Amino acid sequence: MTDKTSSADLGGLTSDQLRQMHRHLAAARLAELRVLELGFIDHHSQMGHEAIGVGIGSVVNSTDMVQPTHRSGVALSMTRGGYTARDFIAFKHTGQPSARHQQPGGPRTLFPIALIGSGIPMATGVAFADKLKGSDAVTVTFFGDGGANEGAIHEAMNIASANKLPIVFVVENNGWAISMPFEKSTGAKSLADRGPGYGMPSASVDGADLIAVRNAASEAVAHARSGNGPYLLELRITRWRSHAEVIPDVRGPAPESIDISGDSVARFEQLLLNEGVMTAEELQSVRDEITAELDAAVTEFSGRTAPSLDSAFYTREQAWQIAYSTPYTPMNWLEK
Amino acid sequence: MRYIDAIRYAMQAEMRDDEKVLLIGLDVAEQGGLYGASAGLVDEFGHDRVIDMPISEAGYVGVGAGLALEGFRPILELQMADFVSVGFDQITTVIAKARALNGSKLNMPVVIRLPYGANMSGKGYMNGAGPLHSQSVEAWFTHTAGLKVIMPSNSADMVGMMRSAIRDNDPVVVMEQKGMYGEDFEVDDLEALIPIGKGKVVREGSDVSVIATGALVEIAVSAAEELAAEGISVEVIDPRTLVPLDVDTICDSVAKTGRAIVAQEAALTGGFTSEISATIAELCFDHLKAPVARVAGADAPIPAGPAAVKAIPGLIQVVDAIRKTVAH
Repeated sequence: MTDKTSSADLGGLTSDQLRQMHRHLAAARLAELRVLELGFIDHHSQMGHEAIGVGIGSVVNSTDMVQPTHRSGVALSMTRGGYTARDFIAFKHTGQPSARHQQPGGPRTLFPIALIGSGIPMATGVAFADKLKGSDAVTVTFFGDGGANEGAIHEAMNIASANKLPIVFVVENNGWAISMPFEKSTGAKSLADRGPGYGMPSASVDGADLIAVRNAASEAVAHARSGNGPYLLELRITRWRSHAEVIPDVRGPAPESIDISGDSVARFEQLLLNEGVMTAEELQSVRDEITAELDAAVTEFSGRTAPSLDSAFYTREQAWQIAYSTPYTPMNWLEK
Repeated sequence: MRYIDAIRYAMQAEMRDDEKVLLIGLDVAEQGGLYGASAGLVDEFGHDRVIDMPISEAGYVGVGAGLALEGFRPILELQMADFVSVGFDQITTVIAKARALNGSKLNMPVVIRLPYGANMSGKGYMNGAGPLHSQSVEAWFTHTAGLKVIMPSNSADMVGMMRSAIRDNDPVVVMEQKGMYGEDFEVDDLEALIPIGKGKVVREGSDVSVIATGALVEIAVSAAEELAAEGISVEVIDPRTLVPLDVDTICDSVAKTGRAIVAQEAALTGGFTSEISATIAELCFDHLKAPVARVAGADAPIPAGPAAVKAIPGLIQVVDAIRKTVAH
């Protein structure tokens, strides 16, 4: 396991690439702040996870499959393309479009399973399919430090390693699973320590350091793509807010800001300023553009809800059509 | 054709027909399956289509779901139905719900094969293998919307229905009574596809309908033959598919005879034939001359060895139920 804790450079990225990444980072953050302001109490905060989404999103291609989480999924999909701040505002108001589901014509995206852990064998199956097809596509699946302890993930990692599947397992370790702190949830000091147990290379990286995330993701994805098997990447950040807005945080109310070392956006902006890639005015200009997009989206979607449904109880036929693809068979005795 | 050979015949036919059909499980390749269900298949189709997995039911059942999303048609073999509980979450959370979780636009063409049950009839391999090697678990799946569940009771039905299951774009759980694996049944037409959702009148009669599943079908036929000598005319119905249930075939029979018995190997409480019984009571009440009787296993883990017969219904229980119902 290699321990990568700091970035020494700008990742070999051009000025344009850095600006582009900043834009995605800022869009994810500002959209998040707007959603918090709008008061969606079921919202599962994405604060602090932005660099994970942007860093990884910047190294996968559209034929790679990602299975995003509710933490970094919006940043990830914004970075891959085809998902905007407006889309996220629309999603919060109407339920569509989701950053975590395949969009028509969009980059390959695997739907999440709300029981974190349960969906990881399925992602592993996608990688298995890619191997059988001789495709050079990679699958990247995400879960948290909490979900990481599910048995299904162990089995998936083992199958992936045994079969040298092209899959990257990303753990967004933010130190908390609702009220369970990481240190109490496992005896391991780092979840990257689990990699060698499967014969799988792994790394543990500062998830608030965008360049470091990108570099590590690049190595992980390249490894998986090479046919040499899976990779386990732990990205460590500090959970900023509660698990979900409606759930009280055992630590107390969320802080307005946190130390820059844990704030991926402030940190990257500082880096860009220090390296002369962007000026303070340019950074503000980006924020203003995004804010205007958000304002327009809120105006467009506020007051809208998901389409109202016929409230009558499902008939047998309707229930069948939801769950099955083959036609419902009407039966005489059922219709009497 | 032996019941297990019918399984292999169907898988082989579909694998020849469609290169996307895969077989995945424990010991399915060189071993040919613990019971021989896949003997020879790896030689014909290779290791990219007949795939051995480590002992990780949650892992490989979920992998099957991913393969199904990507254009493959995986047949997932559980080495025993009793082990399916290790992969249960993958079936009920992921496979059964994938379609509904995606606006009913996604297909999940997975077949899950479950060797279930104990040795019922004195034929076959498994004889009282104990509580963890003998269970009939279909009710775990009939209760989960999004799954189809079939229970072919003989080789002819197995060939025709297994092929339909493999071609079905929805997940199908195939209950294979492993005690019957070695049993020979007549098969008139190997190529006949039997649709999922269609029951069968196995034997005509006029005094009582016995709606039996799995190993209980031939036991019901034996009971019918025995009771014919006493002047009791028993009709035997095999639903063949549990979900979706062929209500018409069942109710037409009960309307004709006026008496119904449901019979299953599985434990009584919450068993699937209780669903059939409730359906009959709901739809055919005015035709009934007697309460619907249930023949089922005991509500207890099945003992090992010969003591298994204390927990699993046989001819005696079916005959008793018929006599009581007719005497009502």
